[in-house]
Amino acid sequence: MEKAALKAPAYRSDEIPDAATGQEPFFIRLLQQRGFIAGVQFGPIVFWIFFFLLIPMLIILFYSFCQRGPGGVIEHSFSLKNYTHFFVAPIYRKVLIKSAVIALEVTLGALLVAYIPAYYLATVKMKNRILLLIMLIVPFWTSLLIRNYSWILILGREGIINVYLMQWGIISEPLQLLYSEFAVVLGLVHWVLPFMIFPIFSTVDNIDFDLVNAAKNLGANSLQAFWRVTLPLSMPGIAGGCLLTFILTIGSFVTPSLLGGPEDLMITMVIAERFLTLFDWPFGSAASIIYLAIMIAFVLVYDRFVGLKRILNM
Amino acid sequence: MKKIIVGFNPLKWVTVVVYIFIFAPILVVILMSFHPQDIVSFPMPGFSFKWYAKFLSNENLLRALWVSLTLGLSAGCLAGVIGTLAAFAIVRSNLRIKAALNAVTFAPMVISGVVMGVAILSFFNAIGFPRGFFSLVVTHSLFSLPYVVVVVSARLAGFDRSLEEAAMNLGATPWQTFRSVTLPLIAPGIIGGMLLAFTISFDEFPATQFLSTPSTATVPIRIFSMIKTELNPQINVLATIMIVITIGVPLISEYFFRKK
Repeated sequence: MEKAALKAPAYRSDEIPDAATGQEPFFIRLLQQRGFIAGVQFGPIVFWIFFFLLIPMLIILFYSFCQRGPGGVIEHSFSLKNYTHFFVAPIYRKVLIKSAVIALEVTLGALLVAYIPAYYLATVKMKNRILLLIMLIVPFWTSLLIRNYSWILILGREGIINVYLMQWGIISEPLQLLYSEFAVVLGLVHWVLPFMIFPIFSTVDNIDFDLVNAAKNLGANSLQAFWRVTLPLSMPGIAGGCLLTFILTIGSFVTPSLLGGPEDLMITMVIAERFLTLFDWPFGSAASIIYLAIMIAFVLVYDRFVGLKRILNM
Repeated sequence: MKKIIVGFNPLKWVTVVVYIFIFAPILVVILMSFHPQDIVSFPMPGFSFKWYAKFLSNENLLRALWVSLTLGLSAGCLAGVIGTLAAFAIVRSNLRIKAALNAVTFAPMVISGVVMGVAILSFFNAIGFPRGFFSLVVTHSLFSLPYVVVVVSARLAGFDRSLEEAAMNLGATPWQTFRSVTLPLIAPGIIGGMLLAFTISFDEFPATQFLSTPSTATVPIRIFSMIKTELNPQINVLATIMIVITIGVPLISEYFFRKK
């Protein structure tokens, strides 16, 4: 390698090889070491993940076994009190159930809203398809806080929907749309929609429509062909979109705290309250660990019954 | 190709309705930023730039905008460098740990921002490091890493390695090959990834709430407290500016993609 480099005429003089010594400068030689290159490539990311992801997670795991002392001090005494308290107190059980219910509702809602546009974009050949797909990412680029704020303007007591429904005489009293589970689900569906549409779009786009035509030639009507051929073939996309949607929703914080009522408490809100206002870090840590455990358990169960490989190979 | 079906096509109309659903909240906010009154009401009684003028004299919001911009740029650059190196490691090396590394890199994308925030807060607290700008840069860069890795990996995977071999055969050293062949070819991916990272950072709230101090309050922090306390119409202006920035930045990155 070095010899070839020396013979090559095409060098600019400010670059290697070093004219005076006939040797390449130190750092160039260093760069040619395989180990060094691997170190530069892996080093920063491993450092980042080790110190800012793994160690912090281990610290909250440690804190979750501690106790809150007077004034928010963390008392390093090992006990399972936080966990037992979490599972014994009915309020936290309610929070867990609420989180799961909202996540399920959002997953189903997003699937219902996303499937038809994804199917339509994938099957109908038109010029502007790329533009329409890019437009779907626009909400992803727009701040989630802003979108939630906008839902407040739309759903509120004096919001767009109530004002016009009353003007048209459809209702006489404003509807309580905002600060309800409905508002939370609506806001979250809006947020996760791209994560549902894109996996479904890409699987439907890859379906060999000769199969569908074959089913039709054999006597199936359009609906039967869809139900027996297209839908089963688009399952990997549906499964992938649902997994992502569920995981993202169960950990969501902004939408439930802005659009939800006092009843719509999710687990992330309990964690934030413990850390920010009650200064009970050990209990907040325990709640975080419980959230992580539920998420990991969910992914494992999902893998068992649906198969992550199938989704990832989609 | 199918003929365009003339008449009623339910799939098409459902799609149109979903697009309206997607864009409604964004359009409403932009429209309301021109609302002339103190209390947002419908239908709008007229147009005015009053709230834009008020916004431009609100020092708290302008400072928050400055914090968010510098934070987004710092986190974007940091994530750009680390993510690009990681993408090389994941696409090109054949070390065992690369699959595990790939999986762990995506963890911050799916773990709740709240949990990430409290974990990083606990870490900095344990080592006695104060919260503030630096901890925010670290956290935001961690959140945007997966996006940079995805974009740069895609660029690297579709990369014709014979170009590098050709350069080496012609006598270029690995460093020269990297600088004059590899880097220019993947640059659009890196820039795109960094701009995406900027967008992620610019909108991050769940973890930021634990790590920011009053002097490093970002735009999302201000918006959240404004929504919680009083519905000040200046939010509409701020929202419009943020929409313009967050939609404009990816459009610029798209331009870079197209150009190369």
